[in-house]
Amino acid sequence: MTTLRAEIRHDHGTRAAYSLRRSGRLPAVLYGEGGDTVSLSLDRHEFENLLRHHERVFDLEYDGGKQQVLVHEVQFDHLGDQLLHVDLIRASRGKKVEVSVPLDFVGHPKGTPKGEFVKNLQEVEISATPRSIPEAIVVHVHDLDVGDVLHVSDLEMPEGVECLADPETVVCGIHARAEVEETAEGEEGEAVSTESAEPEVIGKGKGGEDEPAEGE
Amino acid sequence: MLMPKRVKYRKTQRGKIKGTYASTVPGGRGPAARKQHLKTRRKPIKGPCRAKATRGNTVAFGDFGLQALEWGWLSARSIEAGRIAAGRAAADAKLWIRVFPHKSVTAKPLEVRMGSGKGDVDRWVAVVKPGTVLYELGGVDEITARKAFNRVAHKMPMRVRMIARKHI
Repeated sequence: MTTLRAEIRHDHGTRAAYSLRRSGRLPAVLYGEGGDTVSLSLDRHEFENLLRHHERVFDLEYDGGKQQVLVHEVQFDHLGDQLLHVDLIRASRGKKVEVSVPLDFVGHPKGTPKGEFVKNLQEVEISATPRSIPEAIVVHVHDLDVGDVLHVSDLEMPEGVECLADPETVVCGIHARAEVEETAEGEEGEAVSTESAEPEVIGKGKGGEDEPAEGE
Repeated sequence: MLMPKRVKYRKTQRGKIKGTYASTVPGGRGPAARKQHLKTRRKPIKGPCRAKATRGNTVAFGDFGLQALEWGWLSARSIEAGRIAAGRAAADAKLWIRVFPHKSVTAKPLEVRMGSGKGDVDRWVAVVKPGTVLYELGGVDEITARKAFNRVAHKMPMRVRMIARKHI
């Protein structure tokens, strides 16, 4: 398992975090499992490599000790490019943790030309040991026809993984497509006709607007 | 076209138009990348670009999204044009519009002298900050989504890019 070195972070706050990021490090926090909350800093490049290889669980070395941790939350900047902060939780070996895992929809549904393929769930909550957390839950959608739906109970979980979501929850389905060709043209025409329409003004005539006074 | 059903006040103040995209250069914020980008910029830089989308900046409903990289006003006409373009390029896809034109913009008729109060409401716009996701597409593969968003991008008044749903 990959090991990452971390340093205890003593300076807190926005300015300290800015200067830390400028020096190539990443602010992080570690908590959970009855231990204290610890402010840490990681090497940004090393952590980006971990994320790139889809590693969620790794060993963390800090303060002379070593601990298995799990990536709980990652914060990005406004464009979603730069890492800003990482939340890590302690994960004991062999003890189950609850995490959400993305669903990987495989195949092209056969009812797609006639219907619209709608995904209701993008992630599913599971319980598993840190080593057995899958990268994604595969959902095969080849056989879906118009009107068919897949529920959580239809998902195939890997060995040692327990699904925590309600079995009756709809994962995806194919909805019959509405007749849109005529309305599409109508909408374009409507766009011109509704151009001059004005929204209703809340509280108009109670002194908020001066138009009635001007009319007199 | 999109516009609010009810508003508290018909006319709004224009707000401060923030600077353009000096700090939103794609592919890095280093001096070299910025210098290269500024050579090919379309608009003069009016000031530091400090406005950033702190929400509505991730793909929330579909699989792919069109993200704005610059500050700007997106008119209801442009939103409608983008919707039609995406609908034609990816007819099988499900489309989400993530912005709404809440802000009214007034204008005076041509050849009218200044004064005599504020003009009439001319159009409705959405205030877009760098990072805002404008549209989302679901139920299509990446190639189709890219093709559709490329069509939409030509209707947008600011630089945009396609992003995919991010899973940690």
